[in-house]
Amino acid sequence: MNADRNTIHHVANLAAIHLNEDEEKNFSRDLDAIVGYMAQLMAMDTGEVQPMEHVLSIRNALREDTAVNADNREALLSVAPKTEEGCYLVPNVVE
Amino acid sequence: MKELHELPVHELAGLLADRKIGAREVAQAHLDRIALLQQDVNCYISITPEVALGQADAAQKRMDGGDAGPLTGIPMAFKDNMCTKGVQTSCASRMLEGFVPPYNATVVSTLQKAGTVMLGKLNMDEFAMGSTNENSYFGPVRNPWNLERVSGGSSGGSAAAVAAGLAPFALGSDTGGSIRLPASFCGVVGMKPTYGAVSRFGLVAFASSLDQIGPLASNVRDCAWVLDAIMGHDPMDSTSAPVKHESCTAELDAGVKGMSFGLAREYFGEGLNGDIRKAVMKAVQVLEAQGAVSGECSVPAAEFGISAYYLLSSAEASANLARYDGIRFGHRSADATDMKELYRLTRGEGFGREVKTRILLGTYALSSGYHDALYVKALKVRRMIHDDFIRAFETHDILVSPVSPTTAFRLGEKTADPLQMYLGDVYTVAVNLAGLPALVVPCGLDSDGMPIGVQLIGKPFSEKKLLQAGQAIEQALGRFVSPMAAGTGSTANPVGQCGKTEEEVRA
Repeated sequence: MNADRNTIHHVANLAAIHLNEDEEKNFSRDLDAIVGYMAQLMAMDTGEVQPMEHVLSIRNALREDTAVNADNREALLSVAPKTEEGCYLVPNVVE
Repeated sequence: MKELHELPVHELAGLLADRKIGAREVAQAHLDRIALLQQDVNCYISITPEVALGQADAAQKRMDGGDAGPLTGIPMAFKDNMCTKGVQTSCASRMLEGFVPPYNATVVSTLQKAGTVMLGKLNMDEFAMGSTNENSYFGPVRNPWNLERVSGGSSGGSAAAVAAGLAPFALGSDTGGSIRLPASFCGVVGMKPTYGAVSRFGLVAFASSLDQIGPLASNVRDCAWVLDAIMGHDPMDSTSAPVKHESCTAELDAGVKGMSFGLAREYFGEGLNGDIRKAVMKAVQVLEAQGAVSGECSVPAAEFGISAYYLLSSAEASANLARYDGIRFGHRSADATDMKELYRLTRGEGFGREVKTRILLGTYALSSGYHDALYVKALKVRRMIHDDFIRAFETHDILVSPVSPTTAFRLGEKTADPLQMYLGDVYTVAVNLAGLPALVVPCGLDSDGMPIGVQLIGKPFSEKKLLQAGQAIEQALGRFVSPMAAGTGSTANPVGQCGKTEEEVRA
């Protein structure tokens, strides 16, 4: 396992984060050391152990279907960087 | 006569109830002190005097009307990752600079109903990712015991504010040690409750299966008071546990007679500083002297805790932080011309180095080809760690351990190498993976006069017992007061001055 420049470029693309060249170089160095250390897990015999995503045995936490007031549209839109006529504004997505 | 900032919550509450002081007076005393010392410690991101004085007047009215609870009129502050309606919640990130939430976190509304007085929002590592509070967009927090040292993180502002006498208590959050490390580095008491004990609604998510909110205070009793106020089921948090919590305060002084304490050998191995080993063993002796027994035990899989923790927490973070897209809230790049570019530039500009490191690591661990080898493997190790702890609790009530291999080190000393920084969390991360409660209580000073904490790890929902043990240690060893809090609040405390116990300060 390693994290060379190409891998970092690919992963940054998956994570939708723009990195400049210096960042790609530095993250490659840091992450290579980190995943190198984590390779210790490979050597570990986990046998038939079941993965544990969560410590609580909660499955579906259901509650009564009671109507309550939620945050209002204006309040939620007020924290958005750009809005127009009660909607979020995004760059053009359809040519 | 002690100054107001030197008094613990439970003494302030007594004075308020007896009408010896007023809520506004207590709030103003803390605001004045913050104005004087904030520039040195940098523990606050926002200071909210108007909110504080308004809430103090409302608290006074309640007390005058006979409608007060134990925390009514007590000043406090929140880590800046808990949503406060109308007050910036930045997560110490450029991404959320200027973000003013339209709602309160459950812990915020709970404490508001209890009548507490909010002094402000506390500094932290960006998105709670860090162990020293050096990853804040708003600059590092400085340790009140020595301003050239780190406070610990990520709840560094919370710990430093309490240690400096700039808040009687604070709330922090703990994903892999973020309450316990700074509590230990700053010589205060901090509790990471059982996963699910305190609502996470309105806590900005980092790693949802590990995050937990808890109190930091100058003493064990105050932590118990705050926990009694904030623990409980919340329908707004589907992972909050539907259990009835026992009172943490009612039998706090019951002692430790007959309790069994386990010392896991993995927590006392190579790399542990000698002063810390000595101080932790002193705490064990104190417990034994009061009728407890101790014995060796083992948590073998904990050795792999760092790898499992950083993979899982980063994987969860990479998913949680996908919401920062420049559209609904927070920073938005001014330069983007299409959607994809808007995401990429916004996130490239808004996140700092450590947050990017974690997102990249998490994305890597979840990506095709590595998912089973890294992510699923780490989930299996997580269960092994959990099962090791459960086995250890078959013979012991509480496990005792150090909090960190070192005491607070110099600012900048470890920032160049993230892996070395991660390895410092070796004693704290397993607790989160297993969802257990853990209390940190100061138990000594190292040869440089920096505080040392001892970690008490308990079974799920054993907060009450942990606090009883913590109280026994604190009663025997005394509280540890930073030179800054022991002084009159001047900035003249020489950097590096050795701290004093409460007894020495009184003398």
